[in-house]
Amino acid sequence: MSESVLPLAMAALTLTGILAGYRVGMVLAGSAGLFILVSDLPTAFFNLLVSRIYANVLSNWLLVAIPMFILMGLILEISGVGERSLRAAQRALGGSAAGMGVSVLVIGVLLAASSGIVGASVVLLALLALPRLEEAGYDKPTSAGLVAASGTLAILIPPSVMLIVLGDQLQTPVPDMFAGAIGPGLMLVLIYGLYIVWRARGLPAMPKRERVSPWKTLFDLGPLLALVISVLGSIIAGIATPTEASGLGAFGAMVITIIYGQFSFKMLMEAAKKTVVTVAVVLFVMIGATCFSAVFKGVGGDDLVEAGIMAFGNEPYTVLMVVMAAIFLLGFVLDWLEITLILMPIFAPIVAGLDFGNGLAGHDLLIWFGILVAVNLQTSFLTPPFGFSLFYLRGAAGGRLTTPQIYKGVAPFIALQVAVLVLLILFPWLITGFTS
Amino acid sequence: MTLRECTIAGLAYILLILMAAIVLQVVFSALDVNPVLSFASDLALIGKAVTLNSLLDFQWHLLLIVGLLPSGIVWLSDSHVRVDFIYQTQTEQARARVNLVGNLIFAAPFLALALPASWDFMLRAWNSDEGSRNGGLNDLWLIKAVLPLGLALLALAISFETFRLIRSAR
Repeated sequence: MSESVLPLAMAALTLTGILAGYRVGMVLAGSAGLFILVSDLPTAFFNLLVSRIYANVLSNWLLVAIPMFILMGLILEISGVGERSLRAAQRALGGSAAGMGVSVLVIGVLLAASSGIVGASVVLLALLALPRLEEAGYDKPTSAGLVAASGTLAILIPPSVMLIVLGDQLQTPVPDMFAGAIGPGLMLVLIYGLYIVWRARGLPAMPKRERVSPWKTLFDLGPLLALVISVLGSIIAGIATPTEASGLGAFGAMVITIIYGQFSFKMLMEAAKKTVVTVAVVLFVMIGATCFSAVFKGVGGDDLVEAGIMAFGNEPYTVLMVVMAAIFLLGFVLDWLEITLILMPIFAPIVAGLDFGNGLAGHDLLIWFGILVAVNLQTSFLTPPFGFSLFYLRGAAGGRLTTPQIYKGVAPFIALQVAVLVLLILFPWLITGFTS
Repeated sequence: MTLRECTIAGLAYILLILMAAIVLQVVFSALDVNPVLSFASDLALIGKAVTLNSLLDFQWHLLLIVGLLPSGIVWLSDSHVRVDFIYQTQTEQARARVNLVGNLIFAAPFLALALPASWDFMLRAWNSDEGSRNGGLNDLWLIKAVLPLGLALLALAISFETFRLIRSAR
């Protein structure tokens, strides 16, 4: 019993610090420092920790992809290229109420595949699509849910920063993580689409608008599509590493702004400055989480967590359910980054040692597990009170939406995501069928 | 421009250089040019030649600079992640208390351990004249110095904030 006092105290202190609202990265780093001092771990443990931070986080060439994908997304957002393609897709598809709903989804996918920044996607969709959805006759909760859910696809559909960090933590190749996310991403899009078409039944037809030439649509959408397909395709086909593709992607985004005459040095610098701040924030949390998980392990925290999970039973699917439930529940208060960095080093070895009787082992098993976690974490963006997408949506919608309307609107989408998660657990080939 | 704006702008340039380095590396490896440049004499950092591995090393060196140096500035502009659904409902005074207590029980022990440890880490690289194992960039102590430097700037920012909080708490 006495050996579980330290890890419990450490977990309690960390959770208190985080919930009190102190900076998360420093809560993690600080409780690591504090518990080295109070436990019997030698202070030299920290020297080991610095080597580990350097080897795993700082000199990790793979992580260079993170700022580049963020830069690519910000260039497309700030220059107005994202908005341009959004309008084009809306013109092409928005002839009926159902079509207008589906167009939001399609644009969500396009933004997800090109930028992968949830905040940017949700804000852009809210500004441009909410008024149109209301004109088409959708009730407010449904419009809100659709915008939040479509924008949140950004974190799941590759290239996604979350999949890079997950792949890094699980030691699975990032191209396989990207490929594995394609099936679940398409399923979510399909199921959202069916739901929205069902909601659109009985809505009046849209007033006729002038037709736009297909060439204009192609000019507005083509370059972005080409960029997305070449970046993703080259990673999944193994032609380019994620880092190479990310750098070329950012460069390609810049070229597209030049094609449209929307390039300016000021825009580029603004995107780069925002990226610098984001990178500093992400790296700080990564350093903090690396310290935390090493010391938490050092004081016996992983044994405690494992014992806690096994208390529910050691049947593989029971373990998986407990792990998934823990991630889902933590998603109400924590962000995907913290959950991934703190829990994956503990959960991955537990899950890797299980035999689910579905023919998955080794790498395939971890990819399957990683994508399940990714889909699960995606939901944390939509769950109140701390759902990132909900904050962005409420901010961007201004007085157009109330908080209860947003909560009511996202509920069916959360239910659909849980349903997809169950399907992915039952039929692993939906994930592994796309990996090499 | 304030110091903060200058620093972030400078780092933004470095980020753009990072992008260029990746593009260059892809182009050179596609054209099968390696080493990219050779020198007659042994230069600092680079060694005798700029190889593709030098460009690869260069990339994560730049990332490290971009990611670590602004940590203190980002701290003072309060851009680090907080879980704020309770925090945002608090009064100014209660928030100041959270930050003050946090600085004492979290930031102080972390910095007290991390600063000397990262300094030692750099000194070891300096003493052993550690270089690249794969023909990349040499003088690794230089890039390893970014970690203690970034942490020192962070410590400076945190002490500054702490003094400000103590003064406003009175």
